[in-house]
Amino acid sequence: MRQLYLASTGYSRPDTRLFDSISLGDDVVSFPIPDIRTALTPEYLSETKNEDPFQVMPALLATPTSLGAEAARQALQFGKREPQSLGLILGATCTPLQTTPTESQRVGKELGVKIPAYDIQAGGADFALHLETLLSWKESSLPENTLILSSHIPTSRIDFREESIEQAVFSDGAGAAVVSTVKSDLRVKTAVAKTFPSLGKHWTIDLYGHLEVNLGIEREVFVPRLLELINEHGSLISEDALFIESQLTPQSFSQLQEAVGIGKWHSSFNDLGNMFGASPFAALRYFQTKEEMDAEQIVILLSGAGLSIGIIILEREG
Amino acid sequence: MLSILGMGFAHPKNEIHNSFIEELEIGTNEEWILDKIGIKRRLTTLPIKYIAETRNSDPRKGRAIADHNTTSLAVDAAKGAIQSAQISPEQIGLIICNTCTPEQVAPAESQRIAAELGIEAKAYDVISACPAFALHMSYLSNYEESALPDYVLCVSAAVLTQSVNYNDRSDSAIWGDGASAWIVSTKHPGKLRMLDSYFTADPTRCDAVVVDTFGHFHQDGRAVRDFSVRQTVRLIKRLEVEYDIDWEKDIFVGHQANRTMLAQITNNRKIPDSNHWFNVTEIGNQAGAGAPATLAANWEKICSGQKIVVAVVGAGLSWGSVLFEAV
Repeated sequence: MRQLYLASTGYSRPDTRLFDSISLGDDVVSFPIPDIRTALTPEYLSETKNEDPFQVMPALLATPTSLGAEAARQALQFGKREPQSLGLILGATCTPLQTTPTESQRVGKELGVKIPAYDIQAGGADFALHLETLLSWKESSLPENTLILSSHIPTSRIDFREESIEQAVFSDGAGAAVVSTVKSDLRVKTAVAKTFPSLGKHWTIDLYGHLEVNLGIEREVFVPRLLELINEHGSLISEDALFIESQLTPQSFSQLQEAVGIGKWHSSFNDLGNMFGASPFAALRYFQTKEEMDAEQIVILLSGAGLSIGIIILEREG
Repeated sequence: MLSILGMGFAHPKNEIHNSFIEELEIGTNEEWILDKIGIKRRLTTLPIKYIAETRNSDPRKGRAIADHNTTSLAVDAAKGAIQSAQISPEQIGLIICNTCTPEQVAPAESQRIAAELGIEAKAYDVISACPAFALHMSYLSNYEESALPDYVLCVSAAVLTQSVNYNDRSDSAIWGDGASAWIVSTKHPGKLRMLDSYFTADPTRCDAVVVDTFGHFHQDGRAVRDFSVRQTVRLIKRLEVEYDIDWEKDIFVGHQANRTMLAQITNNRKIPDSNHWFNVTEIGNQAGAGAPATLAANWEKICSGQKIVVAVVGAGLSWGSVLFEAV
């Protein structure tokens, strides 16, 4: 397996706070509502409740591409790299405004680079899938620097006509990382993504329609399958690892934390909401910014559409 | 080393003839279409009566009334590939799919195909529209052989007629719908042994070909045509020099954009008609499904020792090539 390093990460969110535009009754969710951001204008939301996502284009203040490019620039800046240092872009989005070109190519255009760029997407576990892919490649196939990114605007696909738990869970945003063959502080020890296609029907977005999620899958699928995945990698995980999870609601997060029983745990859900596949990138940057990343080993857990789950183990280089 | 063990393809049955496009009265006629793009017929998932009455001005209505969707065509093609490779669905360890016309934006198209086939293997999309065949082969060739499962199912499918505005004379005449699938292995020998693969892109020109999620297909036709011919010729030239291609026996398959463009390429490289396989004249441009569907349709004609050059270009802008030798 190649030696790969996570040189830097970045994330981006729209400026508009969703709950400045709409209200949600206290009885809809049993957890504190996170700081959900939306790419949509407050006027569009209050007037239409996003009844028809097909009409969303004129109401967008940000796009997956603008958010993705901002996250990419941040990652490049933190990694002290110029866009021209990149040799490859791997992207992903579940909320494309264009089904062609790909999100990676649109962000590549924003960065002004002429390099291979294509999308690889599995759903919520994109970050793990991208890293797993690069770890599996021959050394001769790996560029020195690869930009990986995941960008989504789920609020453009939520039906706000009736109160629902989805409104308190999903937030718009993008995450990006520069993955390098050049040694830096965080080495990617392993990354694994798994998909369960027969369960994909529990998390769908029709091409022109609304997001439909059975959030019961957190308890029934994500928590037990993540636990299995952690156990499969038990020999690689240290007792004092820092676990970062960003996509589960607080109750499911606690359930998983208790079941694992080791390490220190951080969730970014309360602060950032669930930004689909962008969340794990954002969580890593978020906790780095807050200087809450003092562990020698970081275990990132991922779950979402697909259905997909993933695990990433990062280790500090001495 | 990668091999292709079997291939499949699927197309819808509804036919759009040039006379039908002329009858739409959008400023074009049979003669002009044949002269400019050389396409005689297209196959579409849309009912012809619906196109005549609505021009597909609202693609939501077209999609609702269509005979097939991307997933159903892709599944039919995948079943053909599995049968052609003489394996069972349970043996497939990875599914990757390319599409620019997804039925849903979540889950991934590959995951819907896997669910339809009853395959609970890893499935994700690897996407770059028209050059998908080169992307998928190049992508898989990047892997350490030990990291790939025994059998990989690759799929490329598109139903772009559902995104065409049939009031636009250029786009109306180009597109058809289709799907293709192929089984790849590094561990089991197949009929086609891959000798070379290449894929790259120029994202700064990505606005030249666009499919709006909430709208229609549109492109800068002239820029794309010039780019496509120039890049395809470059791709072929490199393989001719490095692999001693003999156009008296070897085969060329290009991106099925249109017949006129393909003729410019084959004239430039002096490739005889007998060694040029294409399906665009009878099916239309099927985006990333066109080139592999052409290869799949000619699977039984492939002779041992023959080299097959596949050069594909398109949205992204992106382009690539694959060279095979028949075992």
